[in-house]
Amino acid sequence: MGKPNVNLGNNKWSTKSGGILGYEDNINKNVSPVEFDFSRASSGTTVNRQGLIELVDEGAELVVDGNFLLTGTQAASTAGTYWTTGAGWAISNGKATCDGTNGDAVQQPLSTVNTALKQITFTISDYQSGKVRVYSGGGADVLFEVTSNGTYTYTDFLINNKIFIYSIESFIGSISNISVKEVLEEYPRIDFSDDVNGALLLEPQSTNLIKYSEGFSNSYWVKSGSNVVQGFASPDGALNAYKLVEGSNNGNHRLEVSGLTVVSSKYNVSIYVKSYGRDEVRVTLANYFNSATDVYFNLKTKSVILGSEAEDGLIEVLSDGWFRCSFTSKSNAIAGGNAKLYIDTALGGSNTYQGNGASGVYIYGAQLEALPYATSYIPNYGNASGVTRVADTCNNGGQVGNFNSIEGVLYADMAALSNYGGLRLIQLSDGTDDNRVSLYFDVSANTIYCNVVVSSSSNALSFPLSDATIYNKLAIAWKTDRIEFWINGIKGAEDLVFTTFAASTLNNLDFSLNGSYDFQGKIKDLRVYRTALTDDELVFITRPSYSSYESMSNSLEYKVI
Amino acid sequence: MENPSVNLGNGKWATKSGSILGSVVNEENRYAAIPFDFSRASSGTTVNRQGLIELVDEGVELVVNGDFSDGEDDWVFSNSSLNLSGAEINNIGQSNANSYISSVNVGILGLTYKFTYDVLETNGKNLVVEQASNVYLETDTIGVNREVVFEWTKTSSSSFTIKRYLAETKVTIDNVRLQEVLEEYPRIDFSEYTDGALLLEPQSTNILNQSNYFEPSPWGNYESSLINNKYTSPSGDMSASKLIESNSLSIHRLSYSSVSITAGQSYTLSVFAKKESRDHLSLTNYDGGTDTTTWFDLSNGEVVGGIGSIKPMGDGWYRCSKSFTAAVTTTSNYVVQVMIGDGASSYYQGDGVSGLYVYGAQLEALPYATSYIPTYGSIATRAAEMCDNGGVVTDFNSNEGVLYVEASTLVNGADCRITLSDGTITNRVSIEWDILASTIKGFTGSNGNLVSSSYNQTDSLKIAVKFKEGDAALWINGIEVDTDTSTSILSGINTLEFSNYDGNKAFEGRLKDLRVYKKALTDAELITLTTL
Repeated sequence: MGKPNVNLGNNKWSTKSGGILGYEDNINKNVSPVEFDFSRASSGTTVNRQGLIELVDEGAELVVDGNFLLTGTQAASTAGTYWTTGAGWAISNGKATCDGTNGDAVQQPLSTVNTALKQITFTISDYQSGKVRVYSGGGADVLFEVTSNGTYTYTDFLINNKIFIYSIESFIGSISNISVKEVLEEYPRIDFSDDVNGALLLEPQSTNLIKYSEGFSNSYWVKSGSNVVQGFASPDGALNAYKLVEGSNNGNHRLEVSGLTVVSSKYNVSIYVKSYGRDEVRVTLANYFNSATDVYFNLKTKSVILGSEAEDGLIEVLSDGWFRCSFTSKSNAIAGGNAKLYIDTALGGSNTYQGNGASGVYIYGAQLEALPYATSYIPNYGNASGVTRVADTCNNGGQVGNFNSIEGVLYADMAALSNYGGLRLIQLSDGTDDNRVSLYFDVSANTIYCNVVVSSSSNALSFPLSDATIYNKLAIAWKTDRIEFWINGIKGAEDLVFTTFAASTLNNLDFSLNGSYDFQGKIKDLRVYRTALTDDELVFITRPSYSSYESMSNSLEYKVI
Repeated sequence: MENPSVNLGNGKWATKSGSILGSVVNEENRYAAIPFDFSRASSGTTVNRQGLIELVDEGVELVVNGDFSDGEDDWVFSNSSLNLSGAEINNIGQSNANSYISSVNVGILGLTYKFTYDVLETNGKNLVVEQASNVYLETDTIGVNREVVFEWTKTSSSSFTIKRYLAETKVTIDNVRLQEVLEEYPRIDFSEYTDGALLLEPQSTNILNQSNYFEPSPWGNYESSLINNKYTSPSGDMSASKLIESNSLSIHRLSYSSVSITAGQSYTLSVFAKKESRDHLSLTNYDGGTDTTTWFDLSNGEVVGGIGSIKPMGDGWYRCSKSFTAAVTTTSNYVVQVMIGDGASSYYQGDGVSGLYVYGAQLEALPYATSYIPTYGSIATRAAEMCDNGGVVTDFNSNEGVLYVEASTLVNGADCRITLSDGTITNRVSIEWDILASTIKGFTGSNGNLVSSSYNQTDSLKIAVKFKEGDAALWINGIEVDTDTSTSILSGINTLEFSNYDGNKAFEGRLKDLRVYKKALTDAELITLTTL
């Protein structure tokens, strides 16, 4: 069997802003590029190869000498050096140290001045007392405050284009490894959350309505029978998770957000949780949601008990003991401005119990979005209207020379994000709707379609999938008097009356129907072959295969004896 | 030789409820899945890779801190306390006060679980496992260092409580376990082959409703005594018992009261035994007319008198069995008799201390013993097993190929088949273990009958049927035993079944290896494939 003439993915991933790189292994054993255009007018997160949540869009470092090691470049209260130190601050041994003097700063103007979102990271050490407050230049633009040792990462706008570390409440301690990077947009996201070889993640637009999605110490989160402690390793690898600790009261142990503005829609709520003495949490959407959306998540048994007005409860397993717990409201919310979210620790299937004042769970990354399923995490560091991740689009792969219109195979190893939504297409075409080979998830749940349209004449075949949200290997083979639709090693449908395309018709590979019905899902591997392949070859490429019997057994949830 | 297009077994086993995993290895040495459907509407036991009897259908452990290693964590103690390594439930001197331990809520309403706890100390009073007020199951605590096992169906959303049943109770328990009883798990048996074999058995019922707790009634001792459930058993836990002779000149017997048998029906009695200071055991059956006895030597693993079977089980254990046919329909206290022997007789001068270990008695209405079916107070049935629907049309080449198995049956004259087909006799390739003893047959299409009558079916045989238009052959253990040149070309083969093409004649036995090849192999290849 020959190699595909266009291949995207298959454990080979390269991205840049606005593009993702496919390839062709040609007969001379050279690799030729097949580039796709990509867009997403916002930042976005993914789960990287190390299993950590990361922002894919980090730009260049904007801070100079963030580790305070460039000798001769710093001087107290001296303008024009990299860092300017105020009263009580001193630079030595790779860090800036404050002696408890209040009300002054170590600061640096940024090398790039713009309004783009920035990611700020720094390390606090030798902490004894007080607070470090981070500004973007002074005045009312407080970004955040830190009161203990650790490495901290935040994302926010630096409206005055400075990084300004200010001491208050007699701060005694040191700061080092200060980094500020612009958050770039348009970077494709390769997601490793459910496959070691990664998958291109294409999601619809979504907004996280939780104003402080990670800042649980903020008064935005009302504590009742509980308190929070910051500074623990989170699913993104930084020390920005919190511990939700139950009180010693007999009753609820709760975090509460109120005043959430919702529209008439289903909503999904998600939060990352890790056990700390307690293995259960109850998450509830209240007010403006139908009652009984309370959902119990048991992290030990991985079981979910849904309230009668909740559905699609899910516990996703992450690394280091973390889980992402989520569910969707069964009914649309009532449009209004005071919906509520409760997060309670629980014991024995109840959120009312005698607390011990010490046990609880770690928490990170709360998200409420107007979709019937959870999308990738969207951090929000204080935007009351919510932070929006714009829809991903990926189109314009290849050119006429990459394809053989007369016969071929379009193959994809892909998964839908959910069974909700309209048509979601991958398509080889001539740039019009009239000549195309389309592969798409249908509005009907767990249904996959292929449609080979020649001169506006449709030849559609469909097949039911056991689960569209898991990876399925799909192939459309076409040639004169033959269209075959292969699904996971089986020929699911065929049409033996077919007039094929004229030569050099097909010239474009899109994740949409020429710009509409964007594909939303995950693609591990996308290929186009110049020949229609034999049955044995189609079995070979569409049948899921594994490196060993044991890995196959584990993947398919068999018990190896 | 090319890779088979379907392979099941050959040392690679993976199972889940309702399925067993076959495979194909492609030209890039990557594995693809070929699952077979599997059914058995009951639990079942097998001998695992460690040589221990195990229930294949146990779900994950649900009780948190069931061994109390974290003290009282995840429990509520009331009039109870930690004692030894477990929990003591004690209301002595407390005016009949309730005393209990209560677990966090586990389990799902309506599901059935295997509930187990160990008794470390007891004053002989019973406990109850309670789900809600007045929803309880009484469990005895007789005998220390023993395991109490029972099936428990969750009928309340409350958590479960283990509590005193009556006043003056003082019992210490440990290792509280609750596991879902899952059905439909295929059984891979290592009792005869180190690489394991898929075990497929017919339905059978253990008529003895207390298979491993040998006292009190319905078991009874005559000139013997028991220490129950205190010794390492073939299942690896402390559930074996010691049968001890009296100091009389007598037989020293354990028997089961009021066993009913039906005239003309074949039965098999089996029991696991291990020598202690005595190394001879006899099994005696009253068939309604006479007693028949088989004697077993537990030192040498031999049947030394009468007709029966003895199979080594590891760690000195043997499974001893004998079959008989009921002469009349009757109910008797002497259908099941287990006796100690001194090597010369079952009637001898005992010393009051010597004996042997016993475990897992079974009486079933079959002419041979099947896998152990534990009972805990009522008879239990292991349902028949079926394995089918392996592969799809692209896994097979109807034009030519080879169907190969390495397998043995449970009885010589098994009358069962393994078949490749499209569901019709016209397009089928079958291997048959015939109803006639020692006869193996092959079928290709509606004709193509191949036969040999020289192989005991209970032996592990390597059998291959080659099929191709005008060229069919039956190979057994490296020998081409029959050929047929009248065979027609087949078409549409799309499935592999452990039965005939129509679902009848289900295979009953142990399958070590099954393969399908898409090409009619050469004679040299078939010799290599089928030679032992």
